Amino acid sequence: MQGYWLLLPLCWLGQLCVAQNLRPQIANPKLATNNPTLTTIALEKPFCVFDDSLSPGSSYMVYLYAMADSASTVSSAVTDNSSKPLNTTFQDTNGGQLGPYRVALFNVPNCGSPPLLADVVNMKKVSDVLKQYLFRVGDDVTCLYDPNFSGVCNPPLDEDTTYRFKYLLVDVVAGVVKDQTLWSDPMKTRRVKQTSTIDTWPGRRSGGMIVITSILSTLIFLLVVGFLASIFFFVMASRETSTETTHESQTTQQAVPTSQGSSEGVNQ
Amino acid sequence: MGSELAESPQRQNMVEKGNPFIVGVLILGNIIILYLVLMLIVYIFECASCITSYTHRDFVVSNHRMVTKQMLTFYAAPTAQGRELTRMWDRIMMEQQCCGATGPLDWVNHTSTFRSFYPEGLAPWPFLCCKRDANFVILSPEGCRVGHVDYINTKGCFEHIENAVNSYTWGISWFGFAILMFTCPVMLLAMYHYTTL
Repeated sequence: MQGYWLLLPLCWLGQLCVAQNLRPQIANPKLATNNPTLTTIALEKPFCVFDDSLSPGSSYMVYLYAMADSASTVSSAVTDNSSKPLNTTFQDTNGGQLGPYRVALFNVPNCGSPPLLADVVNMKKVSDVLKQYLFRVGDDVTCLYDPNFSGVCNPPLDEDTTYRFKYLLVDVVAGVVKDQTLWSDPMKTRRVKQTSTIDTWPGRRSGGMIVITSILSTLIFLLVVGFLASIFFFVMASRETSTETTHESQTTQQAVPTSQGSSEGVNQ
Repeated sequence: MGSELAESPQRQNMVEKGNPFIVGVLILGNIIILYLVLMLIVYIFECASCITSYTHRDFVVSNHRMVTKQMLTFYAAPTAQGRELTRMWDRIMMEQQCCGATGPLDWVNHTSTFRSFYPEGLAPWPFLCCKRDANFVILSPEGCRVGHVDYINTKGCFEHIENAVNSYTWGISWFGFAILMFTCPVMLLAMYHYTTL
């Protein structure tokens, strides 16, 4: 909508409201926050862009052409020699890589009563506002594979590719191009990161984890050492007591003959 | 101290010979040593679980990447694990009115299992991310798909998950640590008492 508000005073001044100086704009980020996505780009419809060229006699349609940025050096012509719009499709141009292809055609947007940004808040009006205000390139996922599809196919764009767009004002009756905008600024579709590349390492260990690990490891070490020491002392002590009991019995037996010997000695 | 050993002359004779097998049986036959061995095994496992719980808490709570990766890998996956995780995330997104781990752009910036089931044109993010009215009807599907701030929840769910995991694991880990700190001197005392028997 910012592009629209910029146009309005210029149009009224009647100076710069010529389509040749204007470019298709990307939709207002306040309105379409997820833009451009992997496979789509939402553009503002050309409000008040072609109004100077409209004459009341015939009916007009707006044609939208898209082209990959790499093809802009090769060929960027959208009309043939007799000023008729080119009838190229997505498949013909290999998704815009070989040249511009026609994305869609729609009625000229009503300059007199443009959709208001504030109306989006109203639930009932939001889908109308979105339909009137923006056009989504790459919206139709099925038309490439549907054999019965007869209209203009708007298949999904490639990811991580730069595209440029152009609006044409076509007189339907005569079939000639009345007016056209410049090629838009390059717009790039999003690039996706693989989920498996997300690194889940916490980076820095928290203080609590270090405290708990160190203290508990020390305690376990103390307990194991204490346990082994207690078994060791117990075994040692049990060995000593068992040898002591055997020695005791021997000494009591020997004590008797010596007392007899000493008493004999005394007697003599 | 040696009075119990001196009771039976048979044992006495065997101990005299210093048979290590018999010494071992005598050691194990003593009830206190059995108690100490079992307590030590339990203590070591308790320490291991306390350390592990705090280490794993670090992975989950310190930054959002682990949670984001799990969500992207398992949300909408048809396995049993995937279904459990999908149920949990659906409940959190519904109750907390949030979307994704750091916001709806998580679904757009990364590949995911969800993306393999739902093309981006139809559903750039799960439908539970859309704002709903009191009857749980989506306010506007087009507004939600386009990403307008009035029709989609832009808050991330990681803050809520982080607070919950933080509060639960903090209490459990430190309480377990306090118990282990208390148990250690008790066991050392038991070992000392055992050696004085």
